[in-house]
Amino acid sequence: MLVVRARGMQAAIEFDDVSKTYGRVGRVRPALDAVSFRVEPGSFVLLTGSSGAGKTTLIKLLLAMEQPEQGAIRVAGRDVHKLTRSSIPYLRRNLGVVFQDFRLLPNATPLDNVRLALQVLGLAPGEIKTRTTLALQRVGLSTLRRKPVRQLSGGEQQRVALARAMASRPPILLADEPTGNLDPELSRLIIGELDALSRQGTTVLLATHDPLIRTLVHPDHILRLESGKLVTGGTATPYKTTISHASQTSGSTMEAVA
Amino acid sequence: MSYRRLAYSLLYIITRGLRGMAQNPLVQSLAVGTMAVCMLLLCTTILLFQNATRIVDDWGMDVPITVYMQPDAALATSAALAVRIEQIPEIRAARWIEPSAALERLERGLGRGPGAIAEIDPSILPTTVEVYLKDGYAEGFPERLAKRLSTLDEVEDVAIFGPWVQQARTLVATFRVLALSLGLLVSIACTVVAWSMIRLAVLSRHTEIEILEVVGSTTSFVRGPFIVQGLLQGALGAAVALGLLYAIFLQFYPLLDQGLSLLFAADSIRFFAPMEIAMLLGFGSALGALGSRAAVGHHAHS
Repeated sequence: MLVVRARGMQAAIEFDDVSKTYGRVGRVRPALDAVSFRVEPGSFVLLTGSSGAGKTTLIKLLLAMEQPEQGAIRVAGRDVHKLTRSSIPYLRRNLGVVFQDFRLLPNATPLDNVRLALQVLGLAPGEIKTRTTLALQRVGLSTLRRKPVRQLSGGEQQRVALARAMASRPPILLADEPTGNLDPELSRLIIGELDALSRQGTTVLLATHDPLIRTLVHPDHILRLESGKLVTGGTATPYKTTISHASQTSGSTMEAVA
Repeated sequence: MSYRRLAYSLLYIITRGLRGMAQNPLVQSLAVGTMAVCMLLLCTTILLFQNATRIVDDWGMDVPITVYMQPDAALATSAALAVRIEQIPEIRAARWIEPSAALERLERGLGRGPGAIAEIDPSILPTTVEVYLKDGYAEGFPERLAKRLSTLDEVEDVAIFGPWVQQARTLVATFRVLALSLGLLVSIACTVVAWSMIRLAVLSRHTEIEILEVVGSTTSFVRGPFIVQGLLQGALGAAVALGLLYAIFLQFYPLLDQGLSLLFAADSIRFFAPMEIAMLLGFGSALGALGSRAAVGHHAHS
């Protein structure tokens, strides 16, 4: 199994000159254009950009749901797209993910939705129960745990998705617009949870187009995508960018290596 | 993966498969019913073939030439004749049957239980030598052999089965071909039924499959519940078919057995033995699993 955290100082995530396009010949639309960056373990990274900038594509590439046309994507030093088909599930177990469209079972309860992700790991029923309860508590959904997901509001469904991602305790958590359906109060709660996870050592990559998130979160680093290009990130230099976690270095810096 | 994790995963696969069946009882009943019809056809043909073969054997139709010894012929003479006949290249075997054994056989054929013909003196029956031929003998050989044997002093008469034996054998052979052909057709039909039903289930649960793949489930974890579902459909279909066939068998058994006792072939008809039932259930399950594996192959992969 691919173990991310045990690799020590190895980058949690590394994009090296990655390009990805969609569409047919003659009508090719670049989704990511020569994107390069490194994320060290335990970092909280904010990935910003307008809709269609390539944030979701970046997450899909990390999950090996898409293939890049060019470049290499490494998670804990392992090239994601050189993994065999049978190894991909083990990569994904290390990448908790909250999708923009939640991807929940609408007729199942939050309890069942969270439980499903843990059953995949082959955990004991007792362990599954404990982790499910804790995860739902953390996102404030204990009282709604037995209500079918289809009867929950968008914000509540978003929190179920987050609880599911957190419950499996992955070393890396990817969140694609996790506050898209939430009011400021709940957004603060979710961001707080992600921040807490990061402080506990989880690498968090939060993708959002919402500029208000900047007021709620204090990321270690910001990556900004525009039309598939990594243009800037806080104090960062675009393109070949190394991100160092604030707690591991003297400051929150992004140092250009290109 | 540790054994404990593997056990928990297997538990999930089985329970999810069962829940999958419970979610759509109508569709599942349709699948099981269709498979049962297919399996009923197959089991009926196999049962007919098995019993036809048994009747032919019990009736003695597998013995093309029977030599009846003179009443005063000594057993040693019959045994010596059997040995001599066996030396002929076209002969597969020659066995001498003493009167008491022939009487026992007659008693079995009548199907009236032991002692039903106790008053008959075995000595009224002659000692016989049963002659079995090898396959591929020349045309007219049985007749020539019978003629030659009938000239021997110790032989009283020689019986040779006529063309109707060949017809009976052809009938059994036809049953065999029919059973094999039906077996093939039923296998295809059951596989297609399981495939189409599981494909529907896969399509209706595509969201769940997508989620499972995203959270890191292995291919076998995704496919497992569907294969369990197909396997159960096949097993249930076979079980229903066997149950129905047994009920029909019980209805017709007394009548058929009585009829066959008149032909000295009572007790020839039997239902499947427990091992055969287990094999048919296994066959149904395997077909269900095969169909579901094919259905889930294209739709559920990482």
